[in-house]
Amino acid sequence: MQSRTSWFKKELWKQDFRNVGWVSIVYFVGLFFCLPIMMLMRLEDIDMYIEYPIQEGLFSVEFAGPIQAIFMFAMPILMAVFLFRYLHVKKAADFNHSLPVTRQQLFHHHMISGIVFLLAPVFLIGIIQVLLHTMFDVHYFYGLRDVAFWLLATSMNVVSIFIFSVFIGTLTGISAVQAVLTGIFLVFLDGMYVLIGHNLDVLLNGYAAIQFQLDHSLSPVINGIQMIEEQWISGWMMIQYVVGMIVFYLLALFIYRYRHLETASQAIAIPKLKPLFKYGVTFCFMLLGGVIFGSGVYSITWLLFGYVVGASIGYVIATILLVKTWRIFSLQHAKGLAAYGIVVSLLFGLVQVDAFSYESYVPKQEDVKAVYVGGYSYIYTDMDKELVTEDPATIATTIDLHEQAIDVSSPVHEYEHPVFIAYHLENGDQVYREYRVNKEDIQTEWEKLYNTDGFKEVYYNELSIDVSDIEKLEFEGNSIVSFNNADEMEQLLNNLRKDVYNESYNESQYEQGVTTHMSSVLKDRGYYNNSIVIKQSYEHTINWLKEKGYYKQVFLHADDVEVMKVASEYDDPYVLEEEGKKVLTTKDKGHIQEALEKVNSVSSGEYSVFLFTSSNMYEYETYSFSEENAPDWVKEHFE
Amino acid sequence: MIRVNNIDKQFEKEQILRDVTFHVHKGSIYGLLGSNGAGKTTLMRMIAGILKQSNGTIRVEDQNVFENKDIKGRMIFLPDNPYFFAQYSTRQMANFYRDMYPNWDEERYQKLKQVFDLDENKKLSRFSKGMQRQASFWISLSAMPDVFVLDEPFDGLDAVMRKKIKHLIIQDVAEREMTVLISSHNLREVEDLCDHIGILHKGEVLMEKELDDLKADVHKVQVAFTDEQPLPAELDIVYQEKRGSVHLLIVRGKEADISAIMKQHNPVVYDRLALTLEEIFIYEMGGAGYAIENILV
Repeated sequence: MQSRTSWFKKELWKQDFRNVGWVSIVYFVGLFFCLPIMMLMRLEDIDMYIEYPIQEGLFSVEFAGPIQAIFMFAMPILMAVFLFRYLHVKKAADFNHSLPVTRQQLFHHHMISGIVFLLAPVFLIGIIQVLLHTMFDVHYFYGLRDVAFWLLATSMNVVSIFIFSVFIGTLTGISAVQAVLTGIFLVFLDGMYVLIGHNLDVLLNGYAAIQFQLDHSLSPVINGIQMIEEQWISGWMMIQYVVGMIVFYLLALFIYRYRHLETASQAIAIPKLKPLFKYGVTFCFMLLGGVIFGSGVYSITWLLFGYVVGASIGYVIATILLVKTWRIFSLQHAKGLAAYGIVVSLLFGLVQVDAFSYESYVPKQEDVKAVYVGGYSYIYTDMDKELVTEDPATIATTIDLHEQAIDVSSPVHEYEHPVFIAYHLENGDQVYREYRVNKEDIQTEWEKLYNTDGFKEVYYNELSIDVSDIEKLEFEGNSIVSFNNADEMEQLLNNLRKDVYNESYNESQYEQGVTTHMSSVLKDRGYYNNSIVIKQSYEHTINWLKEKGYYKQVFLHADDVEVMKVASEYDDPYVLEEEGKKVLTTKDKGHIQEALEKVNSVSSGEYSVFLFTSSNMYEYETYSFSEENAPDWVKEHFE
Repeated sequence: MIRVNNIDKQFEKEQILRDVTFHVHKGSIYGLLGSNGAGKTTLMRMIAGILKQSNGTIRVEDQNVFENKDIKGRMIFLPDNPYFFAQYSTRQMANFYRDMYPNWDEERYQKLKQVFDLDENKKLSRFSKGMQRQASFWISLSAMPDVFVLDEPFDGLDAVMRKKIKHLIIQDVAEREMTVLISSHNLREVEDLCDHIGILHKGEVLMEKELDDLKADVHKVQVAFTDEQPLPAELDIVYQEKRGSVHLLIVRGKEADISAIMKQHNPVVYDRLALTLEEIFIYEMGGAGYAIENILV
């Protein structure tokens, strides 16, 4: 009698197994091929793995990591869909809920069987992997720690996605909708960030992308993949997963207990969610339409077209799903779309008249503590430390530049020149703006800005790094030359700073003579973001290099050049020759020496100059001659 | 036993049931009649604890049914289209019921095997509709329910099987006071089984009667008087018709009273005629009768 009144119903369990046992078996077979079989196969090539042991644990490509990942996301969704299918079929829902079991009990029962059926194959494979580890010498493939991590990561992902999918299942009355919505919601938040960000970008002049960017993905799928790629789960991440599982478990239970069973076979089972679903889908499709038609075309008409088409398609799809017929052409539905249109137009209007003073906002000089200004925002965001200057002259000219940029830019036009500004305000706030402008339109302001020390402090930030943090300075000229003597590095950086800070904007746009690149390698994080160009006009630096006798090593010298080729257009020199274009080829050291002194940067000249540094005909540096710098023998040749 | 009081049910703005009240006594068989769409199935699903009413109370043995394991353990709901788990045989389904219902009687199950003559190990999905229904009766009756709720239970059954099953139900009612609620769109199908009848029309209960009372209270008489005197005013006449000098009357009241009244007026002819249940309903319902005719076909 005891068993009959107990909470645990054996037959309910059995039924679950008969219903979804196959998911368990498929998962087991899949994992069995991915892990033990794969490993036994690779035992044949054990020599290779002795030399190059697998570093990525049991999620590595050798263990079909990507396929495992697909299983990891697909199996729990399948499990949730089939286990709770009875909720979505009227007859089955009636039957199950006429049984002498409470809804709560049914829910817990199915949840537990789902989790057990999902974890059983995982743990079985885990045990097999441990046994294999004791039977064979497979430590080149994985260690017991890897098995533990594999178990933890797989279980956590599988169970959390299962619970989430069940939660979605309680919201809907159609199993297909459950599967599709689970998929969508697993990447929903990340997707919304992208969609909203893209749309603000074309709607708001000055909108900076970094304002709406995620530091960490909010998608369980992307987090899951990251987890198995990095072979690591942080404690904080685990807490988030566990809390998420508990929250969605309880939410699902709550909805399950109160949902009306009549909603079986309806797309949305909670009546109050229907308008949210309808207008939510409409909104998302509208944003998507905005991204598709609004970016790249630079036309507000096409953007609006994208919104109208997107919103209409979204509204139609959502309505069709809700009423379950495509014949939805009624006044009532038209009214719904019209109401949506009015609300969105109002919102759109508010943005257009800058009701939130976003586009017109320029901070006052006295409110700004520090500023970053440059082309792309990634230089600012990628930096570990804050890359800003407090130089008042820079702040003032930045504000001028900002005002000019507001006047001359528009979010939807084709100008490619980017300007990114980050203000750190006195009150602790940070304000970001990003513009795309026509370079000529901001030329005056930009030049003024360039000539401030603060700007160069930011722009040539690699010159301000403390020498004690630098492992070495590397030149890539003739051959790679590096400095690691602290004194020398200090002197070199000092000289470079002097040259760079003295250089005016116009000077910065011009170079003559061969150049070289210097990059910094930091002690703790390797290569620094970008390298700096050393020009012949950098008096202090060049003198120092000559004094120390490094000049010939870091710059190309006539003796280093085997052959020089000059052409009247720019392309790969071999292509030019093959196409029968006139190419001047010379080994004359006098000519080469003259060229080394007179060449300009690659983009500025009439004639392309190719300096081949060795007999290897693929190693060459490219420069150019401007019309006035070109030697007579070049001009004569191409006459 | 079953007390349904002032039930309202609406779903998505649609009013399905409106202020439905009726009671079924322990050990009685109640027939719930109504045309298609009257709300019978919804009402039964609520009584079975599947759906929740919007307003009102449904009590079985003075307890609310919804989410009540005890009550549901002693009650079986047989839907108009029986449901079985995919790929299950009768035996597997019976095992499931045995685990779920505390009063399951294995001996009864074995005994009923002879009545139904089905292969208990064959998959239920391969049975015909009628066989599936038999199997569902077999399993349901073996669970020894105190309350048996049946939605259009005789669809798809042949006459012999119908009789057998009715017999089984009556037997359980007689032997252990099982309470039965049967819905049907056809009065004739249940009139030999039910002792009470309720009519549900467009979500409302139109009338509720005990069949024995009904038959005792309404009479069809043929009467003719010598002169053109009017019919006695004391009679509660539901329906009248005149053929020549003969009146054909449907009269409400006790038979003895009616006879006494008639005798006082010295009729030339006075006969009592047989009255079918159908006629009683049609005449009783008066204006609403047209809607009811459907049920009586």
